[in-house]
Amino acid sequence: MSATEFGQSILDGIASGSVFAILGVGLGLIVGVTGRFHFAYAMNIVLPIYFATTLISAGLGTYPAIVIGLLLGAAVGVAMEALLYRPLAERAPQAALLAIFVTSLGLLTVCENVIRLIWGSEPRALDPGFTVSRVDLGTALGLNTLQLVWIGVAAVIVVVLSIYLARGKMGRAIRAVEDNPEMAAAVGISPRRVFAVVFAIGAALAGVGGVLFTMQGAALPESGVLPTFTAFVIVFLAGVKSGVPRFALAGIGVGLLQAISATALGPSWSPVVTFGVLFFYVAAVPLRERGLTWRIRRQRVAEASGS
Amino acid sequence: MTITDRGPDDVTPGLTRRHLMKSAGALALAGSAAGVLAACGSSSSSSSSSSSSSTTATTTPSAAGNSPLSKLLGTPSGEAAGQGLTVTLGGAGALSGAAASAYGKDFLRGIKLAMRHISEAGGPSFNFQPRDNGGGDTSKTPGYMREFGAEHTPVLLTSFAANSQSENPFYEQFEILALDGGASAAAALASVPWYYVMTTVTGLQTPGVIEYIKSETPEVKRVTSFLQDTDAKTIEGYRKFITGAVEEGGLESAGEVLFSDYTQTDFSAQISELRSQNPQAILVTMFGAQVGTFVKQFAASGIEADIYGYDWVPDTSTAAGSAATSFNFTGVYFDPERKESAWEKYYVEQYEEEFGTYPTTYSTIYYENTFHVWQLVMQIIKAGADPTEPGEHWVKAVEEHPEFWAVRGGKGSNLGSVKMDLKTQAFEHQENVLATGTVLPKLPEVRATFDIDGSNFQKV
Repeated sequence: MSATEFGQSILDGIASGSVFAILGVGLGLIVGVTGRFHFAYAMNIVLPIYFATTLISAGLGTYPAIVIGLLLGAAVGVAMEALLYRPLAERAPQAALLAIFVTSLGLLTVCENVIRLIWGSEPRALDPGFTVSRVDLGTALGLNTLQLVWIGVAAVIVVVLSIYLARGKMGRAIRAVEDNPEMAAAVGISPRRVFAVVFAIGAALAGVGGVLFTMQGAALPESGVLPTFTAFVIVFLAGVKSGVPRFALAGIGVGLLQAISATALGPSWSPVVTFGVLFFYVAAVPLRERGLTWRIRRQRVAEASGS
Repeated sequence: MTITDRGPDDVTPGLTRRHLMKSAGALALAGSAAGVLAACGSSSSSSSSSSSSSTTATTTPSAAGNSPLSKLLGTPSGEAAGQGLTVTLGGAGALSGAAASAYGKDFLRGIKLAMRHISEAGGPSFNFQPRDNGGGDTSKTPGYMREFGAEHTPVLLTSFAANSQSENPFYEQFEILALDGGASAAAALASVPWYYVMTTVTGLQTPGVIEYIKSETPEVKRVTSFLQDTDAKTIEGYRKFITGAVEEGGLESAGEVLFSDYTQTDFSAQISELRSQNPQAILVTMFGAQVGTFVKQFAASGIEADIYGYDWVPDTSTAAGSAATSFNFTGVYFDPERKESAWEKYYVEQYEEEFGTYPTTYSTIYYENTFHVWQLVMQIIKAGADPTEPGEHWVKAVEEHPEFWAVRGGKGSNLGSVKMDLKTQAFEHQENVLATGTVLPKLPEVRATFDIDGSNFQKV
């Protein structure tokens, strides 16, 4: 890998990582605040694209159609929480984690096939509405205008959402429920309402990520699946209870990891490296913690026997 | 600190964060692993189980044998044509997944129309058993192949490299003759018993496209091959057919760039590599919508190089959007506007009447392949064997009569023809079906036609 290829892969990684950041922030909010393992997030990524392209076919302009598509996508997110996850969690609180995980996988399969039944299996393309051309950033390095839009949109979302969660009334309520739902409920915050708002925001962000990715290609019913797995990697890398900037940084980190590994090792290695990181997190980190615990125990035993 | 794992208004103490994180991580890892495996197989996680619905083409006895086709094809009548027999015909196609639109739908349409035409022309009825191979999802293969075996299916129309390769052990076990109209596994399965490639092998059109490049854009000297990072035998085949043909054609190979599989949608790493190779033309072995996605991203890269793809379907143009016009296709192509032979004209008209759209290359290949099955049925009857049963008599029929009809390539009342090379077990020659041209919003515009080795090169 030449220095130019390395430099270009860093730029490409930041660009794709920006979209991953949006997806990671959306899923991170859902998992962190509600505790729902929402694998049907893939449908939140894809459905707004189908809504928007249908509206465009009906004669609506691209951007009004995208906005309506995102709003409809957010409504679907709220419906998933209100009609499926919440009843499950209320009926079987002790088994809710697994029940919701399995339900979301089932929901994903059902939704994908419903999309095929309604819209068919043809790819859906979204034209960004501007000419996508290369912007040179130095010797042989550059990004295209769509990639610059990705970075810009991600930056705006991270800043606005951070401010909203820090200063907005509902934003503070979300943080309160995330920190301590019992205490939040005790002071009159409705976790039910907060969960609905979180699903609306998360689904809308998923839709934004899906729309941005689709502008460089086309979407299929299953196009949301791999980005959802990547978003889960981001959420677990950042930490389930992290703030928006940390999810965003983890997203950019994963984007960089994918881009550099694809250039250095070959494109087939990119998902292996990404999920290898998740494997490391799940398997190696607890081992390290356990090792630390053993060392502390040994030290205590040694101290006790020495005394 | 604890976080809850329950209903939002339930204030019962919940699980600890560590417990939640461990469980979540394990669940996510399991799910992610499944996702990676599914992605490697180019599959959809929603892929439905194999379709078990069957279709049988039937026609009234009075109509049988009186269709325009029976006269055109000069087929015998009655028992010699297989009339009254019902032959089980297996079909393994992309009925779900990313390829279902571009390939699965056309696969079914071509076969269904052919079954009706064969029945009307006085041939056998087919008990068609379509199964979903997920467009490369090999986890589906053992299931549907065992079903074919249990049903004593003698002949199978198949597609997709990964599926064909995983089907391979079952061909001999169940004595099923496999006819691959997609030719995707041609390099990996060359000369494997029971497996025949029923179209032109991808890559063999390269001498023709090199000829086209030299005549239309003589300034182009450096060519990059853009290949799938797949099994070593298939890559070696592509190297031989594509990169080898570039050098043999007097152009310089600028190098090779690999893409991961048919699910890849972000080509920034490959575009970066292409930039450093500085090619003037790129030969791309992607298919369907994926090549359109690549073309769209490539157009935004600012790299000035001509792209020649080995496949074009309507989904390619959909995915490429306005960049589609910068894409040149080269390969097996059925031009629905050609209609030079009586059969071609009849086929296009019937197809449009039946499905309300023009026939594509893939629907035409599988339409032809179903007629090839009928030809084999007639050969088997002539040899005194039973075409409704699986067995070596099917392989023998191919070996002894390797020439087949073709909708394409004929003129007037003369039929087109194709011939099987019994050494490679792939079609060695197919008249006027290789083409190169420019993709327009609706259909590609054919600029030149040629044969496998670039011979008979003719500008249109």
